[in-house]
Amino acid sequence: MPRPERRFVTFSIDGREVSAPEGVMLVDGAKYGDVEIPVFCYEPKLGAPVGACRMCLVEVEGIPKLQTACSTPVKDGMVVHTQTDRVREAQNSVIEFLLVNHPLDCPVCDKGGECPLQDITFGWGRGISRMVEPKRHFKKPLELSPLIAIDRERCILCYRCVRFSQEVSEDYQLVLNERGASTYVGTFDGHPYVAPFSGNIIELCPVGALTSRAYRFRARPWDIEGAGSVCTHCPAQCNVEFTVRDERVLRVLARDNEGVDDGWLCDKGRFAYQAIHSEERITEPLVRDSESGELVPATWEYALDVAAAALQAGGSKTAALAGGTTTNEEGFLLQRVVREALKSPHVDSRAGLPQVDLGLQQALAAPGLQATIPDLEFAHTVLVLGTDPIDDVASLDLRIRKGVRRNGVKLAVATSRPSALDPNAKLWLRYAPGGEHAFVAALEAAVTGSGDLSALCDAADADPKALEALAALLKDGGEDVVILWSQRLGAAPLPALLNVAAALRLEGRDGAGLIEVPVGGNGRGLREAGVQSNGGPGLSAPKAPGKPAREIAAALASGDLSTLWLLHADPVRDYADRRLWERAAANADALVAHATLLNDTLREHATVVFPAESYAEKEGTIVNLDGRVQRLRVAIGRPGAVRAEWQVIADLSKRLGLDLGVLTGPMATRQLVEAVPFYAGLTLKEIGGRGVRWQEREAASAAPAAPAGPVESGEPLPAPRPNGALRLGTYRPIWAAPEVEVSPALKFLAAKQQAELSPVDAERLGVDNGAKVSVTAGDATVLAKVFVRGNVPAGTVFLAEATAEQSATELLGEAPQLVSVEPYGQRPPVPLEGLARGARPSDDEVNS
Amino acid sequence: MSEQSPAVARYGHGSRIPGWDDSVDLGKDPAPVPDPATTPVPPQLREQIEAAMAKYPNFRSAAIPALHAAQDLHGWCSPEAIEQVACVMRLTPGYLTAVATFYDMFETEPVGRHRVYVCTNISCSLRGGPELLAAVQQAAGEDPDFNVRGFECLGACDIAPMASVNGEFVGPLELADAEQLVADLREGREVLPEKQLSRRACADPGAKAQAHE
Ligand code: SF4
Ligand code: FES
Ligand code: FES
Repeated sequence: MPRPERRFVTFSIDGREVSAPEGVMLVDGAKYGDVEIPVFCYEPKLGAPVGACRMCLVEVEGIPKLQTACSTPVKDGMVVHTQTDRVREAQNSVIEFLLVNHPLDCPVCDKGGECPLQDITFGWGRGISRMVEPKRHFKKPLELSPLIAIDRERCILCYRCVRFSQEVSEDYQLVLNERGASTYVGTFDGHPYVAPFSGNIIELCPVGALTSRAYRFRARPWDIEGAGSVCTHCPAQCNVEFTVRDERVLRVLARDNEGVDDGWLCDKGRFAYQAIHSEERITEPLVRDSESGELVPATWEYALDVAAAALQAGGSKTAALAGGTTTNEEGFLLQRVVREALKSPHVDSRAGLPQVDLGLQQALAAPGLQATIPDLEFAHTVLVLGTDPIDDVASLDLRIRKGVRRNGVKLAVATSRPSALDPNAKLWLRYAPGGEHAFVAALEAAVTGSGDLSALCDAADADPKALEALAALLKDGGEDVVILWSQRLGAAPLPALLNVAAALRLEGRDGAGLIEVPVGGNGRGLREAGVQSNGGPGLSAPKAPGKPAREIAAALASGDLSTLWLLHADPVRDYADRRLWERAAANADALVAHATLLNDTLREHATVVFPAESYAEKEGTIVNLDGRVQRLRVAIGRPGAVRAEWQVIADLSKRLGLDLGVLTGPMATRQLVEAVPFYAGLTLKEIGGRGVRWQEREAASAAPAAPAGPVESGEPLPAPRPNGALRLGTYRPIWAAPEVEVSPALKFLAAKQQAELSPVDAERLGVDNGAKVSVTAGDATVLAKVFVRGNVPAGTVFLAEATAEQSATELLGEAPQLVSVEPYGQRPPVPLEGLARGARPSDDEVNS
Repeated sequence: MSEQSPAVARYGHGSRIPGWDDSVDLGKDPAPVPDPATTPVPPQLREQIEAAMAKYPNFRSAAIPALHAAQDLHGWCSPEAIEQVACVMRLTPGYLTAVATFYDMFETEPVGRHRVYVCTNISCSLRGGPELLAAVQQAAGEDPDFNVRGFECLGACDIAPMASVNGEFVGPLELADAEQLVADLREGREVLPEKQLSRRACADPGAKAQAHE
């Protein structure tokens, strides 16, 4: 759906001639003439207006009754009055009516001071009430979820929260029960409202009915300051505003940026700020004591000396890994030190995923081939390939839903694991884990009409008919096609993906193109800054190619490399093949790390741990998935002895004999910009609060030219056949993250291992929903709770990666895996009773 | 002022609305669309719901007939009944709860299986509806098999005062009929056959046959 064109019309409001875009609602049109019309229920982000609260009544000449300005579009020549006695009387009455049962408990209400109901009552109300009867009173506050408290007395039934749940996040758990004066916000049978985006309703509620349990009574609006920055918890990089009081982040609010987040935050972004002030935070340098063998607090000077000595000793046998929360500047400086001072080529930020040929990377990142995030909302067709946005890039889930719901975007989902977006998709396809390459090659064959589609589908264990339907949808469903693909696909399928893009002529087309979902919040920026084994700054060829993460692990384990330097990376937890990484960490001569929290690896093996800044303390830049360079700004002071990361790296570098020439954060930015040709001339000022997409600047022409023509995509390996065993598919749940585990509010969501099985496999294995099973590959075993899901394809078991315990990375080796699943413990296997067989429950069951 | 509004103790007059004062149970899991693999649905209920869904351009329109079918099977819109409907319709149980609590003829608490709705709206109340309701209530006593309640106009003012007994309209009723009505239901007999609207002579028998199709 191409974006609608904007035409302007002229209308008159309060005697002023105003021109506003045609079709906008009067409330918004009035703003073009600086007229404010009060609203409660109107919130354009929620979709079509509902006209529930009547606060926005205005007089329109020629219409006898007052009209709701939130649902009356402006028309050419319309004459509107907002200041007449009739309007004022109506506004007074609506306020009086809304307050009839409102408790007016502002002095003890968390919303006080930032409450639209207070403000509008003050601005448009009569000032006194004729209500002398006793008001209704109810128990309050009540829990709506572990995160949200509800105060039903205060609710004005504006419908905002339920509309969010129903039409934006589409979880449809929050509803209005009963009717008329009895209506109340609630859920089904006392179930809590727990959904990935639930926290947004706190911000939407125009009164104090929905409040954050984590923020309640922590501060008043006049105690706090807002500090804009960007969330680094996932690659969506939503814009946030920290609520700061006394150098503490007390709350995170959305900072609406149409190009990034559309004004929504996921609950991780909203509540994981608590990790910043966790008791477990490291706030001083730690050095391993040679006598006790323990990590003990040390001075900066000493820690820097020890770390520098260790790195010096490692020299060219040092490898460095940067994690997803690393800024471009930190990554850039890191690779400079490793490459220039230590003369080692081994730097990586790809989260242990395969290295991608540099030419291919350049082709995939070609400015003309990049779609923007808002394109997801206006494309004819969106293909989501190999990723479930809810886990990998949360807020894009809402963007895609919005496109489908409001603009009729045709959505296709192609993944190995059932996706949360399946119900919204016109078409969803499954392939076997390990069949990614074959699947994308099959898609290429279906789109180009060449190649052996059925053999490729066979190799991917995908349905050829569905692939043909997908190809038809992509080719004939309109030219604006956006493909959202995941770095997790690996390297092998990418040539075929490029060929698909070429066949669909996405290059150079506005509103169409590719968007990559990297693993790690700043995955894209780090690659552009040169933190990868086969790429220097600006996706240039490095002097000497280094080893990618996986080979680094093998080399450390075998002694070919000696020293590991970790910048916010936790490979043991996050990367595939946990046991290899454990060996690597144990075998390394020295391990230098920058981290905010300790983990077992650091506790046991680190030589030096530098306390790292949290994202609220940092300055620097990061790059969003569509190339938007965004700016992190300092919101609070650093706790304890924490120092700026760029400074720590520069200090280390100096001890290693290389003066980086960086004395301030912005100096690091300047160096980065000079080193990356397609960022040329970019300044922090230009990036500002909204960021800039580098593809839209002139310097984009300096992006490395991609090799032309179709790319050879190679012969795909078939996905493993289960043959009695099960294929292992993995995913990283949104809640599998240390910041979730240490945030008291979010802790209850921390991901636990579960084995998602199809009903057929569960029955064959004789395991019930909720039973404990062991999943084994070779000599590695993971314990999990069975979760029987109707839409899991038979023959595959899905496990979560990066959970605190029993992570599936334990089982992941080089090649796609077959695993065996067995009931765990003494309990004899119980057959699945009646489930999925459609057996009729007995009458007793029905009536109980 | 204070004279006119005597102080009311906080929560003093309580809540008439079930649910207003209820917190959620944090021990429960959230309630998304139920998974067919773990939500058994009686096949005949599934059939009824699917048939209803097929009737409408938007399948959600079938929420009311589907809930009725589930209520008929379970006796009320129990959480389990709602989950089964949600599973077949691929909606959340929350969606259906909103519907079930909105409409009067869905029971959201367990009730007796004999439904006696006594009309207390204007025509019937002029002819003794409220007294009739009291009489039926008294006759049924504490019997858990009975669900006796007052109702708004059922559109049969011509036989006021009337009641709907398991869907059958009976009237005009006298106070004395209350005992008989309850006894008939207890014994499993036809209820007050001579007062059933559907048995009345009608000027146009054809019309009546149609209405009963
Ligand atoms: S709880 Fe708040 S957002 Fe929801 S209906 Fe009530 S006033 Fe509106
Ligand atoms: S804002 Fe217009 S009716 Fe609520
Ligand atoms: S008033 Fe009782 S049926 Fe109409």
